[in-house]
Amino acid sequence: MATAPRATAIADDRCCPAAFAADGDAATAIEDLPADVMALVLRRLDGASLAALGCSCAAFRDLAADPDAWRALCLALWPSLRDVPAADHKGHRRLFADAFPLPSAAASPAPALDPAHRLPARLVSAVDLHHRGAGIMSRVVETDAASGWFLGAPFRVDALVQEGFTAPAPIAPAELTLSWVLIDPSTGRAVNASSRRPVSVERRWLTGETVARFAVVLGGGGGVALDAAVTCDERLGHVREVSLCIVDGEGSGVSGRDGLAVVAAAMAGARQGRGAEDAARLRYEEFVKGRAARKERKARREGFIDLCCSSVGAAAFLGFLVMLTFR
Amino acid sequence: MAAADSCDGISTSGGGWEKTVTLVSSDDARFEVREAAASLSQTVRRMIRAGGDGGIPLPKVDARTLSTVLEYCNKHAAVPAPAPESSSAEAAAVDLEWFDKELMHVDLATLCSLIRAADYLEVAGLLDLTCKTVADMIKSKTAEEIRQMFGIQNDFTPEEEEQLSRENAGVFE
Repeated sequence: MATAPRATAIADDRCCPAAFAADGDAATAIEDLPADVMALVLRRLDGASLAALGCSCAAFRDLAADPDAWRALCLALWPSLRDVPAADHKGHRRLFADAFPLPSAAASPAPALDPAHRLPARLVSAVDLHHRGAGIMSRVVETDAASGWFLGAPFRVDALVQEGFTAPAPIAPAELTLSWVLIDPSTGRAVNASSRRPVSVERRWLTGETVARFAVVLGGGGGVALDAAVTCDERLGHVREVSLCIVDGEGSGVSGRDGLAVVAAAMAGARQGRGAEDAARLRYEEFVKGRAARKERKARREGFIDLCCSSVGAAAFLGFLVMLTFR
Repeated sequence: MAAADSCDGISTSGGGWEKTVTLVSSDDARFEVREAAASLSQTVRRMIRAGGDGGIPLPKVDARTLSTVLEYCNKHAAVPAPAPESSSAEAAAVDLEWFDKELMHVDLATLCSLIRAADYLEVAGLLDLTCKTVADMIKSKTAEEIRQMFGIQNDFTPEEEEQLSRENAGVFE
């Protein structure tokens, strides 16, 4: 059934040039524009619109699959990708589809279920830090994720290895945008590990530093958070630390092995569309609230156990005194 | 010889008297235009240089589209190209921007014929403007909205469609 309409469509196409020659007005539909002119239109689109156009019909799908256009789009969005060898991922179109939307909240199954042999052996981070739209840092970090040291220690990737750097102007942490694309070179899959805009900005009075967090919470309930953070001194414009950790619902760091499992699951899992950035902030607030509630519950339980212990101790002491008195 | 003369005419024009050329559309309508304006089209410019009498034939552009193109050319040729840092230059730029915006208030079919004409006539500014307009129409729409806007059929098989939605999950919806 499906082939019959196709055949007539092709026949129609064949008629088209003749119709055009006879009457100039016949070919004024958008899909009849020459490919080089359409390329001029496509060059002005952002990635999401180009993807939508590619999904509208077969002719546009072929047009919108132009690898150069996608490469240009990805490099404009993530300048650090310039330093990632092209062989490391299967086309920029797929990379965009993987890394542009945020991972969905329900993307992460229990990390323990993932067999260890499927974990990525190498992890490439393409990190771009912008301030008010102007790029102030672009860096690619490769992590050897197979070493025992990495698997055993808490998951952490640092994008700034040296002493940090100083931006040309003072920094307003709330206006930083961070993109942290994690790429698994062996499969070519990628995931966005940053909420782009900060989900929280907190000041540390002791050191005078400000920490902007770009956390993405995965998994319902307690869940885990990909916790990308930028530590900076806003008065001096000095960026001290750009790092990615993974924390669990208790607020403690997740080990490298479990962290890799979370990342691998997020790469394979679903993505969230529009409004994801606002949702990320809400999710993070909930995550923090949940963490605080859990901490409070734990503190209460510990307080109760403390009380029990001390009352038992006091009772024993009293008993001892009574025994001494009435001996 | 005639070619060299017309070249000089382009560079030295700007006084009271200006050279004009005649353009002939596909449906034989004749348009008399200042040469400075017509020269915004690289195609016409080449034809002027090549010489020839009795108007320049443009068989791929109809009268309606050509008149819009010439409206654009007249307006843009009137503005001096090197813009000094003055308030009048700024006002002229704002005026030109407003003119461009108004010119693009047309239906899709007209826009497409304008793009074709700008491509054929090689009017770089107009091609840029029309392509930008189409791109702005496409921006932040879903595949279904794009289909509706352009009146195109969804010619994917269900399998293809499923694969596409899997590949692009979350990208634009």
